[in-house]
Amino acid sequence: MGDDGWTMKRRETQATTIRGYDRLIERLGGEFTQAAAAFQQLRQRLVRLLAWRGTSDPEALADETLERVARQLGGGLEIKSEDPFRYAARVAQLVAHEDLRALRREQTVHKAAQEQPTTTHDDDDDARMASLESCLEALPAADRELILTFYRGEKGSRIAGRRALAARLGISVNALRIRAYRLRQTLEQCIRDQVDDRGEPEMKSPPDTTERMEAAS
Amino acid sequence: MTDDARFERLLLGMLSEDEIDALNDDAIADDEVATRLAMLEDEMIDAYVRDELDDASKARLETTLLRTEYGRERVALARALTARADRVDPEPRATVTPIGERGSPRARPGGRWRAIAAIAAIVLVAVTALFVLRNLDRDGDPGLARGGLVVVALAPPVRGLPAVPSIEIGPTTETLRLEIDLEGTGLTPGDRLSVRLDGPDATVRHRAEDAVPTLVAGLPALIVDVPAPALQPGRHTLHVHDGRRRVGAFAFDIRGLPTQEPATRKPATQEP
Repeated sequence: MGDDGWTMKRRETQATTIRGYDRLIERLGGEFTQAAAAFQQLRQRLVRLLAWRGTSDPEALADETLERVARQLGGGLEIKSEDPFRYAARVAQLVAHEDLRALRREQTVHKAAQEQPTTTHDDDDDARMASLESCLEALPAADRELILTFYRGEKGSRIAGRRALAARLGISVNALRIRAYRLRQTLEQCIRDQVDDRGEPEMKSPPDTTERMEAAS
Repeated sequence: MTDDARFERLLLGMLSEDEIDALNDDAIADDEVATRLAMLEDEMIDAYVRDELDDASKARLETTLLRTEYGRERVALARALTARADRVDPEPRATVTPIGERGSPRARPGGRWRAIAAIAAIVLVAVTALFVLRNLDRDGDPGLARGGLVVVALAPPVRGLPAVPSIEIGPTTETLRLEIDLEGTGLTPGDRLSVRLDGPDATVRHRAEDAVPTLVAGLPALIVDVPAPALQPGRHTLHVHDGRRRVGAFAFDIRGLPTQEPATRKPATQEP
């Protein structure tokens, strides 16, 4: 295939993918802003699934999964499942199996594990803390107080603090855990968004309209 | 094997391929399973950050979840969140501030200010009630307005504000009601507390066992009624214990002298 043929093929694939993203967005909510939030949530659920499977890079593989789903949707596939996540999760299973097979082939899992640092740089920590502060500020005061109280203290005092907090709110400790979990998700998404805004060119939300128009042209 | 045990083994990489597939299927089909798994992941990462995992689990987590960029980022976020949460001191310390002498709400977490506002509202109601009751008394409704009640809210110190409040005890005061703000102490209405009030001469002026925290506008507080005759001019310190540890010590100064003669005073039933 010559250069022109390759470029044309590439454009076709891109257009199919973008069409697929459009259809996915439609399934997720219709309105772009609402769908973008649902898309982030969908992606994050895939990241978690892929992490639990022990894959090498859950974030990148979640993006790979979404791109495959978008290509299939753009090619005319109909998702029968009511929840698009279920279909995407099945695709993620395949992506995970491929990744794990590749990892086994390379036989470097243990070596890589030993070589990977488990800490990050101080600069990153400072930036993350700054983002956390600003994201906490964006929460309603009651939610901010809830999440900080929930995670405060060493094991013994933390458990007692949670019991007290649940009593104060008139809910069970389990309901409190779920509320804290949801708030933490919101907080982490906010921090991730801020990190992305600082310039990491990762595909973590559907392409915007301009991109779509450019790719389709 | 319980679900939680199965989830834990998944996160630690201890399940077989078939078991992983089965659990993943469950997580895909059932949102509740996925949520519980995600919550357990959060808890495990928090335990890792706080060094609360046993050595074997810690080592396993490092070779599974934390091997990935995703896992390391989650650890970094958990580290930031726990550090930020711990930055607020949950233990009330040695001093108190009275209502009306506190600083701007920005100086303290919002929850505590809700407590203070609630206590302030109670004081306002109490003062209004006393005013009304005294007027009723003047109008000949006997018994309702006997005795004066002074209500003071005691809370952990606020930077830049007077550390020890000064409380005026008038001739009609019979009872000083101390409302101790327990927010952040982890105490709940089911707990049993002991309180001891030391006077300026280092003698115990009042004592109560089995004191029970209550909820004031949904926030935990301890209400201690001290008979006015038990007080003396000068520095007093109220010590609060929960049987295992000191919850806090709250100091205040008493101004004015109770004027009742000892023989006519209402007996302080819990006085030593």
